Amino acid sequence: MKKLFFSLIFLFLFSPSVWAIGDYFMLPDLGTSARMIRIGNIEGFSKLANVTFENPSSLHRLNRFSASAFMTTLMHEVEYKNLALGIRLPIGVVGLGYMTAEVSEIPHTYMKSDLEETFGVDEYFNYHSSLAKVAYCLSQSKNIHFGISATYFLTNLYTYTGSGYNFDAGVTIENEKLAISIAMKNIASSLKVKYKNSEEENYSGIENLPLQTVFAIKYLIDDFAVYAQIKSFGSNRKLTNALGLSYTPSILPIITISGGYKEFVVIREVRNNYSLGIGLNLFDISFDYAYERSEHIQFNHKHYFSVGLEF
Amino acid sequence: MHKSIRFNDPLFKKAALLIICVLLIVCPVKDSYGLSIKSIYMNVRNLFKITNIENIAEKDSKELYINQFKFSNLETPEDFIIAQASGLNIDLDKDIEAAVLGMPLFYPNPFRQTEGGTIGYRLSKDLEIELHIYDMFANRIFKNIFPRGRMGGKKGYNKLKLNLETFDSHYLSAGVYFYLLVNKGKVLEKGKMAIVP
Repeated sequence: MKKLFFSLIFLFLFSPSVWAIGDYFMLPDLGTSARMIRIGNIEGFSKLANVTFENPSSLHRLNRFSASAFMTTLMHEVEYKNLALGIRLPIGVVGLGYMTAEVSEIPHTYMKSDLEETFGVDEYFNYHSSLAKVAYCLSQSKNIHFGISATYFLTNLYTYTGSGYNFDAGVTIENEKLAISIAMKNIASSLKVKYKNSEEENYSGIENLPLQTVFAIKYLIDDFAVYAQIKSFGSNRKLTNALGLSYTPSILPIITISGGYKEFVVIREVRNNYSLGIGLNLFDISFDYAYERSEHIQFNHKHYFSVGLEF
Repeated sequence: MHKSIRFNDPLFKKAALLIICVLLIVCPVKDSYGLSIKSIYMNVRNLFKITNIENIAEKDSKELYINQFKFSNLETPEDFIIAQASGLNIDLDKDIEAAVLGMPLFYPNPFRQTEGGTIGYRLSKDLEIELHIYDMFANRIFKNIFPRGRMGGKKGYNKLKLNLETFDSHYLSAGVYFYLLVNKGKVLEKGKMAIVP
């Protein structure tokens, strides 16, 4: 059984890739909550509904009901938001999630004169990308939990519209001290996001929904929680690592301070970044904040906020 | 009997030059390139201080000889002044502020990487320009430096082509990307471009 388990892990991480076309812009790669971002974008260990976006099997941690919201604005231009709900039913735990990114006032240009070849603006348009997820978790025992989810992707950009769907699967194995989260996203690699253009009948563009595999562990040592993760990114299957540390003082358990290190891929190059943050848990309502340094020449700092409720 | 004024009289030419200089002092207008007429005057004033006007030999009304350099096809007073400044290595753009005039635009927008597109922008003077491009996660995906005086960093209108080869034949995700024009660490202007598959 152990051999089969590790063989599957090896196969999932190193299976061949197809990358003749571009990859779809994956919103959850930013992070799905401030709590997740401040521990280095490590997925699958939240107790709130936003775990719907990370690993459907991690929904088993929900009590009866949970709701979460996340928002940030990058470069004063791109607005990210998400909302998630989770509810425990007799048949298992169901999660719903919706995430969006918007950019407005993008100039649509024309050529002013053929002689000088200078450009002008005739109108402005917006960009809107969203995904909707439905997840289901079933507990096989107190320690082993399985989950599946379906995702619908939608992008609108000027007269272009792209849509597609795919599926995720996950498993969580845990005891009092150790938790292991394994998730595979976009497991149906043949499914793509297809684009149409309302002004061009014959146009058809496609983008890959790249398979992502995430293997993460969490280990509790007194007031500390240590996290580690290996994740495969994009169609070229670059492997990236992440580490996180959280401290919840036993004398003041409503506060959690965290820090993280993550690697991520930008055009085949693996880069890294650090994050810090703090969480406050008051009467089953969580407020989380995360900070990351940015390489943008003008906007050096990224701030993330999320709020969650569970009971 | 009064002697008639001839246009090729050296005294007449000196008087004309003096009148032009006076007009330059009183005229506060800047042209579309941000070239202050007062700044031209200041440079010409320095020119008269260091150059004996007898050293400037004139062959005819459209040519000027300065220190073995010949400047031809000089039509306007500004041409004469710029030619004199060039011959004497005076930087007339020194007082012009580094700026992108108007808004930099990308054409076509949105565009397909396989077909490419062009960023167009106008500079107030020759500048070293850094082009930065960021994705929607604020990750820098491209940076290039365009030297002063070359395409991308020359005074006037500049055009820079972007296509699949610009990004090492990597297909970027459909979405919005943000480009910034930077000079000496200062962002002069920025714009947005959208990519479709």
